[in-house]
Amino acid sequence: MSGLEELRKKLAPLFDAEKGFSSSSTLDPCDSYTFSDGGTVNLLSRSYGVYNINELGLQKCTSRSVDETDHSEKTYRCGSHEMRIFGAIGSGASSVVQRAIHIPTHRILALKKINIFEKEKRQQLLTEIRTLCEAPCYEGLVEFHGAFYTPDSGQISIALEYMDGGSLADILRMHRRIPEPILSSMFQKLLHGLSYLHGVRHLVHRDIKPANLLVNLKGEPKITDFGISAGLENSVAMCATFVGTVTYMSPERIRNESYSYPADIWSLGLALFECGTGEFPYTANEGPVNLMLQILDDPSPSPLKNKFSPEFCSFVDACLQKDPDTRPTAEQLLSHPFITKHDDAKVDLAGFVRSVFDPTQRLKDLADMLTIHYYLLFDGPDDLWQHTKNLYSESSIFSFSGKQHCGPSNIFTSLSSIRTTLVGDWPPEKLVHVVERLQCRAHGEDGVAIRVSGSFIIGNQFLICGDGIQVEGLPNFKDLGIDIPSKRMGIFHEQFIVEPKSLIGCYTIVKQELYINQ
Amino acid sequence: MATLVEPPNRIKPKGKHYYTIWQTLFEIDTKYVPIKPIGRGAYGVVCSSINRETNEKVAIKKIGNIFENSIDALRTLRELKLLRHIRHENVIALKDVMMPIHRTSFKDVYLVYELMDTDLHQIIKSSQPLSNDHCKYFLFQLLRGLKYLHSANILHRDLKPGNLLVNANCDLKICDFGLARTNGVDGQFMTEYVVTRWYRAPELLLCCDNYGTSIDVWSVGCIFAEILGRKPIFPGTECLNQLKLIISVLGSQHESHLEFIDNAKARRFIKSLPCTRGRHFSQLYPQADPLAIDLLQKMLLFDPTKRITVLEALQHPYMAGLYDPRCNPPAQVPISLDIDEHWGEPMIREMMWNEMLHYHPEAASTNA
Repeated sequence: MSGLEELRKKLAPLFDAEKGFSSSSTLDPCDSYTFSDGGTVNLLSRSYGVYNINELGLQKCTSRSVDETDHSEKTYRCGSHEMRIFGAIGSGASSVVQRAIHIPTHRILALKKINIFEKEKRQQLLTEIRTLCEAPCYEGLVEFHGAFYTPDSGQISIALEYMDGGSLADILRMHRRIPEPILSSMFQKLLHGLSYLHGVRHLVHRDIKPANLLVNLKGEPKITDFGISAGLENSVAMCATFVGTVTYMSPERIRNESYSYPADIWSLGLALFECGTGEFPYTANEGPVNLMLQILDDPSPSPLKNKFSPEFCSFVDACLQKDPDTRPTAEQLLSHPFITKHDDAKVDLAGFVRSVFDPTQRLKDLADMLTIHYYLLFDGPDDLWQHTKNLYSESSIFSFSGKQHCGPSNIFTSLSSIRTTLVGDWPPEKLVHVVERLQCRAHGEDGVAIRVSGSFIIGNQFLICGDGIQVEGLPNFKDLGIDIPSKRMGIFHEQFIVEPKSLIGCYTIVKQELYINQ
Repeated sequence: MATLVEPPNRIKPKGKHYYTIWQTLFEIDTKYVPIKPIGRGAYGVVCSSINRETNEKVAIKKIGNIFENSIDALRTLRELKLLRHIRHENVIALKDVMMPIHRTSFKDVYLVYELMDTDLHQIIKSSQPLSNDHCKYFLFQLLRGLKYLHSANILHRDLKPGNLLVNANCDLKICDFGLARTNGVDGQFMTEYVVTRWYRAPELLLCCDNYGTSIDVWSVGCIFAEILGRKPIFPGTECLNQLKLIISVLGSQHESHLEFIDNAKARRFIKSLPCTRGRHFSQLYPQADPLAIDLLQKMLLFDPTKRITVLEALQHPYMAGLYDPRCNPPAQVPISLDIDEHWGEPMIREMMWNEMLHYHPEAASTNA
């Protein structure tokens, strides 16, 4: 041990132990963003404009005249306090996606949450916000609704259009493969989106794969997650092995050559191959190196000619040319026979999607979200309650105590009166709903009938029993240990009939009946 | 920095108090008083604290919404299981795991570690001079800690400068066991979708099925080279580029050194790389001790079967007079990990709760 002790004595201290190491006692200095005490994060990047994101949402700083003349510029404010956040839909390598309801509009959205303090993901987020901001609602592309920062979790949330069906990867997990006429119709719409990205926005997606090709219950397919930017490729993040990303990467990207729109065409071809055959054409479970070498060295995969139509085979073969210069563009592919041959077939995409995704579970999720949302408004603060008017249309009917009220104003007045009575004289403790039982069934083609029953107790917020959908901020009922029978002050039964509006994710209460017993 | 605040929902649970640190809410046992935030990253927020019962400084790491991502949850569970058994001066000690209030619905996990000042990544990229004695002492401690881990049948698998914590007096401790495995367990193929590539051994990059302790030795070699050169030695942009960089330094490999590659396509790729004599480490690190160069060369052999072992490295002349087997006993018992990567949230949650009970046996009676 003498050698070790001698070595220790010769060591100069690395830093003053009292002061600590400078870079570990504060946030790493970063020239592309600053963090102010108020919770505002100023995102800066050399190639993008200045965005401010705080709890009040995304605001683009239009300090340049060029921005002011851009009439297609679209920004949308949505803050964390305007969101009702439900459970996760899924999670990937870089983010978590949750369902949420935007309170002022009662619209169901998908919230993609990204940790802002990871440098690599911040760049990814910048690219995504810019792309989505500047891509107004377009066929084949998921719509962007805004973004906000949550200081408590250190995350930026991006609000996206909620695709209530799922992804093509979800479909493949359940059905193994998708019929050609369905694929033809879907990929026509996806190609419109891709053509727009390439031809109008001049953007390379970089992560086309079945998991990023979504479809809603109306049968509309859309591309999402414009998540990987050029900046990311040169950042430390690429130390990581993204197996999922490697899988759909084109040969020229793997060779570290310059690449452009044809790289997305390759990925699209692989995605189509997988959706049509039910199999990813390369061996992916022997590690990323082996996968890359297959893509580089093996002949391009081609569907079996005796099992698939000539048009399908031709489309896939065209997309999977090793030479990027010989691949067709998205615009050209829109004229390919595989796309055009089913033009007059009136393919029922909506019917297909509904047959794939469990309508019962979708209905249950929807009923849970809308019910929780309604009672959180009713038993919540006054400023949020004001938004309830938007839930009703001119033909909506609310029945209570033998009377019927019609139209948003009358219904709101009536409900507000009931609400005032329940609040009583001492607001910190008021009568609130505890939903004990919730049933739902389909109503007509797209609507849902919801039947709710429960108790009134004295408390400060709405509660729901059971282990269904959970909402952030609402305590789990079991954890509170409340004995309902001993605390019950009354019983309520309420029935809602809810129908979708023309805007995806928006719903109207067309009929509501309330019964209260002491 | 750390601000005492009211509990959410105005419900104050017994034994807990609340602080906001970098606008993150910490719900911690009352015996801990936060001092200041010291780090933030993908894992969560870390703050230094005082344990009022022992007057000891600790680091509390909050991992928020841990079940949002099952891969992160499994990493945390793996770390909990492993660190409970490990007792070594060169491996970070997990001193406590706070019991959450609600067993069935907790979302955050609070881990209490011994407090270290910084990590080797920060030291390397700073302007702080490092003498040959510093380099030797860092390497010795890393090898000593690694020998202990390997004697317990544990492969770390993610050694890198950021996972090596250091103090002002140059003490070093290995941390982050989220990817660790027990050697020889026939585990399923894990999709390592986020793993730092610069420090990965060739046999891992090439996805050879049978790898062992030599993968950690390669990582140590990369770290040692980075200490000597103050920048990464193999900063690959992706897998194939990583391999090209390695070959460009080590030189083209003889056929006999490629026999460990069981995938024909991968072997062919290595052979197809441009013929090169490579660059000797003494050219890359002209100021380094010749004995250090010799040891580095033996650590960074492409063929894992030829690579120096941890014990051999500790016995290398560069480490002369430092290693004493009598003062470095092996771990008591091999540690086994019964973790299934397909576990859902309820199972992971239950396993985490059971790990926490080891630090709080008194909580077992009250079935919270």
